[in-house]
Amino acid sequence: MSSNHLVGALRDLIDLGPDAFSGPHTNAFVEAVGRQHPAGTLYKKATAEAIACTELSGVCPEDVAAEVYANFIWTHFVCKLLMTAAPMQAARFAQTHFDMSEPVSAVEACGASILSCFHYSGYPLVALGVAVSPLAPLITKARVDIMEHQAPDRLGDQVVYLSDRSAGVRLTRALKQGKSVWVMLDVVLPSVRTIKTRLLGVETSVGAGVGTLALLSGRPCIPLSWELQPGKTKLHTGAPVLTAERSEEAVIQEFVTSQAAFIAEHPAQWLEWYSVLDEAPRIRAEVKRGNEEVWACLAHAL
Amino acid sequence: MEALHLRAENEFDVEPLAYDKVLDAIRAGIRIAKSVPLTDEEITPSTYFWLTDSPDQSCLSLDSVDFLRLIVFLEEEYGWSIPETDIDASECRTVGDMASLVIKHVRGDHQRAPG
Repeated sequence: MSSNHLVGALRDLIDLGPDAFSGPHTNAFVEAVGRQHPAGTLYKKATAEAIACTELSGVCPEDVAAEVYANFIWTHFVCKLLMTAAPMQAARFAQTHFDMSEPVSAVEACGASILSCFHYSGYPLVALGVAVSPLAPLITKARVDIMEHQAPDRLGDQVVYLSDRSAGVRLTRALKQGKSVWVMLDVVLPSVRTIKTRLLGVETSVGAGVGTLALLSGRPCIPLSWELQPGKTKLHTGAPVLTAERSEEAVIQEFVTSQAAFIAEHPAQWLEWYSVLDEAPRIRAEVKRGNEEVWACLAHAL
Repeated sequence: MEALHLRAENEFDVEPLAYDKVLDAIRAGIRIAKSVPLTDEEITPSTYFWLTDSPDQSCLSLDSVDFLRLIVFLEEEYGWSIPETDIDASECRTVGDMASLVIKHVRGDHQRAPG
């Protein structure tokens, strides 16, 4: 990997500041990182294969996979790096860039809720935007990463690490006490309990935790979706998924169905298409290893 | 510690929380969380919640969802709450560890109650 070239490109990116979050300034960087990501070919191939085996019609799987890959690289290596390099500017940008009117109205109507979505393009920036919005939910993350060390202090108490034993307890208690939480369930971590669902005609396993949280807390799940725009990006909400007298499976399937409708209209936005494949855990592990290699290379510039 | 315990009972008219009662409640919670009719002999104070490095240790193999259900059961049925920091600490690994934590915190709550 030509690390000097990437580090130079990253420094140029950081110099752009929040402008790099929108507009075409980042295309060259995305292309450079995308070319050198060790799992790039696997990611694109698996994404195309996943798209081809669903009910999605009228699209070329390879073309969509190429777009998904660019969005994946942008999310992991532009979005996260800028959030790490300039956390306060990123928080200010997120505060003004997102139109939260739909989620705010939904929570006003439903009370404390589980705000949930799949991993769409720009999800870390959206999570930050939701965290600094009037909703101020607890935000879940898989584990501590480099961003934690440089995040604005006031967000520290808002983050719940799913690697902690107490994560589910903390989220349930928060919901019962009237605080919303943000949870994503399409990425299944090793040893996490899963539920089989149908997504665009394919059996897909997702984390079971959201259903348990909803039933134990008695709070609804509000599906979220968005498509990043250069100007203001609007967060959309689906109909709240209610829990009364329903099974966890039924709650989660309704949520997945709501996400599937968004994905069918905006297939390039979903970064985790390969979740529908049986070998998703192996692919995820390889992609994660590749991410870490690229991160290690780019860290020199931070 | 015993003196503190007695003072709490006298001052606030609180029944002492018996270890066996807590143990039975935890057993009930585990059966509900796992949806399996485990016997008392299968859930002893030395039973681990999760797999350990030692293959000889008896273990319930709870996952995060089972464990959450157990904690919520104790809160809702008995009003016993364990702080999140103690749940994450390595001292909460066995059924007996959890019983001790419940007693410690319920006693602490009673001592703080009038203030």
